[in-house]
Amino acid sequence: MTEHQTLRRRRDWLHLAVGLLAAAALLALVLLAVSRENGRLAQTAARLQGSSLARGALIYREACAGCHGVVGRGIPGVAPALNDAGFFANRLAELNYPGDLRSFVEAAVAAGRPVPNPAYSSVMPAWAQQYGGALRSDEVAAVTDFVLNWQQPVQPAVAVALPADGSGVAAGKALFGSLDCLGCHGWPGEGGITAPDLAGIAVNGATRMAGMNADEYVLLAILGPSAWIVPDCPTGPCPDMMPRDYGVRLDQRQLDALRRYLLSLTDTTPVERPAGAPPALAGGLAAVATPTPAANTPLARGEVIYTEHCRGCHGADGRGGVGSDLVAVRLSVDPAAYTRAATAQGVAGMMPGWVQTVGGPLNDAQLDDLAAYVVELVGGAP
Amino acid sequence: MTSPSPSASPPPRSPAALLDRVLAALLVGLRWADLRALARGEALPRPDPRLVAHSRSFWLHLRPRYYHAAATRFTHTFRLGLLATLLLVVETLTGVLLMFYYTPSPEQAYSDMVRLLSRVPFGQIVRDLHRLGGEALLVVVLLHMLRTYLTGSYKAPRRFTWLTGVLLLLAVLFLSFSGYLLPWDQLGYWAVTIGVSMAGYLPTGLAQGVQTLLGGGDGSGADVLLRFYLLHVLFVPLLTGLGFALHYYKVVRVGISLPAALEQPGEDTARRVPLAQRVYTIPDVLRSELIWAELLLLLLLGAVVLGVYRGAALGNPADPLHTPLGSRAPWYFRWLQGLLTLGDPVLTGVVPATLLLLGLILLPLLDRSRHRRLRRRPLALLLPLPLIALLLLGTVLESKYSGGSLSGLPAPKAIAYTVLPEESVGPLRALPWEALPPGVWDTRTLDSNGAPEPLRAVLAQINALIEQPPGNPSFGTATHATLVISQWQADLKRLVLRVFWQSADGQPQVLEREVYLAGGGRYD
Repeated sequence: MTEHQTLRRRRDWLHLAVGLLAAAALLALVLLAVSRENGRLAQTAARLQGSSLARGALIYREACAGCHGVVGRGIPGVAPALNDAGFFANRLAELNYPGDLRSFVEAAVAAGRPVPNPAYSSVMPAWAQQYGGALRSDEVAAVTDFVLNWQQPVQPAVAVALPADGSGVAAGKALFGSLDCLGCHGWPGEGGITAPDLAGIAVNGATRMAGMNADEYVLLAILGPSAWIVPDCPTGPCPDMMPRDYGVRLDQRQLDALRRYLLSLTDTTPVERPAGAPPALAGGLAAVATPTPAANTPLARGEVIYTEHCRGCHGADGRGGVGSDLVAVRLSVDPAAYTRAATAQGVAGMMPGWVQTVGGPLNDAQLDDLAAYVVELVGGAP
Repeated sequence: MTSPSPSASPPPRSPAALLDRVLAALLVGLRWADLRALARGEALPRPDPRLVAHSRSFWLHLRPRYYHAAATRFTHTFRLGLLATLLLVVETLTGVLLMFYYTPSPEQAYSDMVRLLSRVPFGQIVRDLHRLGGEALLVVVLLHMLRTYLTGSYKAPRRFTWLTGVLLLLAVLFLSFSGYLLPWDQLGYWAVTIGVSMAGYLPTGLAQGVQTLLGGGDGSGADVLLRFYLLHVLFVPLLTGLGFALHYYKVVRVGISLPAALEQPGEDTARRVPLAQRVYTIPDVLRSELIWAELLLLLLLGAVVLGVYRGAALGNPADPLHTPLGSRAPWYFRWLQGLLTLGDPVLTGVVPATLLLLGLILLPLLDRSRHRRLRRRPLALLLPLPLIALLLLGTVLESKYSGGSLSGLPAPKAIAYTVLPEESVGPLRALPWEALPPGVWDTRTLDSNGAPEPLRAVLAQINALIEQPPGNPSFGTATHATLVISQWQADLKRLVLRVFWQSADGQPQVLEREVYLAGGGRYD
């Protein structure tokens, strides 16, 4: 065998080895890909579904929240609630709609609701581009995903054992004063406003629901307030009016602090208000005397009413806080009329009605003044 | 084992003989004994059965019977032409698979992509292979041209081959470019829109012609997608096939140029291969090509499956009315995009690009020197340097002033969009789900507000951005930022980033950026 042949033979073996190794590695890669593929598909599906949901949330905020409310609770007289157990459970049966809820929502978004509902001032327009709207079909699907996702219960905050030393009570008290608890319950011991006085809740909470101690009851009453309706309120039988979204709005630390504070209310003597905290309207919503502002114009009168009754929740600039962002909800057809209607009648589950005919403190003239001020505050047409 | 004689008669009936005939039928007349002799490097019978196979088989007749050993040195060609060919095959096969699941309409395209990625087994792997292969093809083609330029192989008698090569470069560029659009997401849509809009700087009539031809009447929507699709899957591939046929015909016909050191200037001996220098296609070249194909596949598939290649992204659905901040042209057009911003677009963009293209086409005619050795053509080494400098300058300009940079934005907006970009992940979305607890997180109290460590790091990053704003600070300066995280729905969080800043006249201002983040929608 010549030297040339030896070299050649050696190179042949090298090629064979590389070729076989590469083939084996390719096979291993293919097997790896096959073994991972199901997991990867599920992961990608979840990821793309999630980004569609997030896009839907943004579209809802821009296109739907003006009438259906920022968190979908609806606005009485304007548009129905979507974030509502009744909507998910009964709507199809009410309409005799043969399809499923997804196709119903998707069709209603795409093509609108052509038949006006006398209960609402607005008519749902068609949103899909094919019917003259602004949304592409994937956007219609995304916003449908978002609306239907309200069916999923929000994971309730996990209960945490309370420390024995009662730390966090002060933080909870501050929260109680700055959240809209105060707007309805008043400071404990002052008699409540539209909702029950909470003095003594740490004791009598244990008597409300069978098998629940006061801590469990307080947690339930914050996260799921409809479970137990206290029979008597300062204004008569208690309405089922407490917002049901504190599980969303409070983080875990806030919730713990609030619970600690409520569980410190063992007797019915009035508590001391924090310095600078607004007084509650003891004995219910007393009629508001005609204020005497510096200038007796509708705007100035409205400002006094807003400052006294609305600012705590909606903020000095109307950008919201505990209450809705008034700038975001001004998108209705006629801001003054809308503001007046929403203020007078209240918003189901979120805000009490303020007009005297539903038990509130304001008369028609005061509502007009308030509406004028709010429109001035947040700007008129968007 | 005993090998039956190939000339045995009457026809043998033993199983071994039968096998041999089957083998011969499959391998165009090559028999077991021939393969054995080839493998052992022994002499073959006459006439050489390999050469007979080359004249009998369609596929083999396309290939040269043997190569000059000097031309097969790895460092002479780096196998770049072969790799480009193999990549074209990969692109064709994966492309056809992708076509199975794709409808070229704005209504359907994006949801088809979603279906491909989330419901079609191996859909994402096929897409990643196609995208990675496409980018690799472009790189390989450019390197192939560079090699040809450096070895002086564009000179006579290979001038026409070079011309077909330039044609193939343009075809590959357009294939890659048009492919960007097809997923119909914001990333691709705006990359292509920026690319097409560069045609707007051509002389008026020409610009209108190009834009109407590619973009249809209104330049957005159904027309442009269908046109790019048909060009991408039908017309340009046909053109590429034709260009490839011409190119390869010339390569075989003229032969691969030998290393310049082996020849006298002006001499071309590629087709005169002495017997001792012959490397036969069967089996040496074919075997080597098979191994290269294996290695290439291994590289591509390994990069895709093992996650070395991070995967082709799918942005939000294309929205012709909303340009995401940071949209940019595909990387190979960025130099031009950058040059267009330099001054008068015709002078700094259209003229250099036209000259570059003309220079590439006419290179074999412009270069009259007969020498191929680099040391004998110093000008050939120096001339491309200003060109490369120009390309680099354009690319740098693009990334600094127009592309992914937010430097032109007011500083507060640039901060908000650095933390929460529109079409990429950004630092905040990359956090684990648990590291985004509901609450109000203020950058001024990041050490005391109890933020989990990953979130704290992002808050600290925002503070750093406030110190050194990525945008234009002349509008005002940011003072601090808050991040409000709410659990908005099951598995959905709302993030509101507010950047507080003071305008130049001292007015306090707030810039707000609101995004939603789904638990399942975590970016990788």
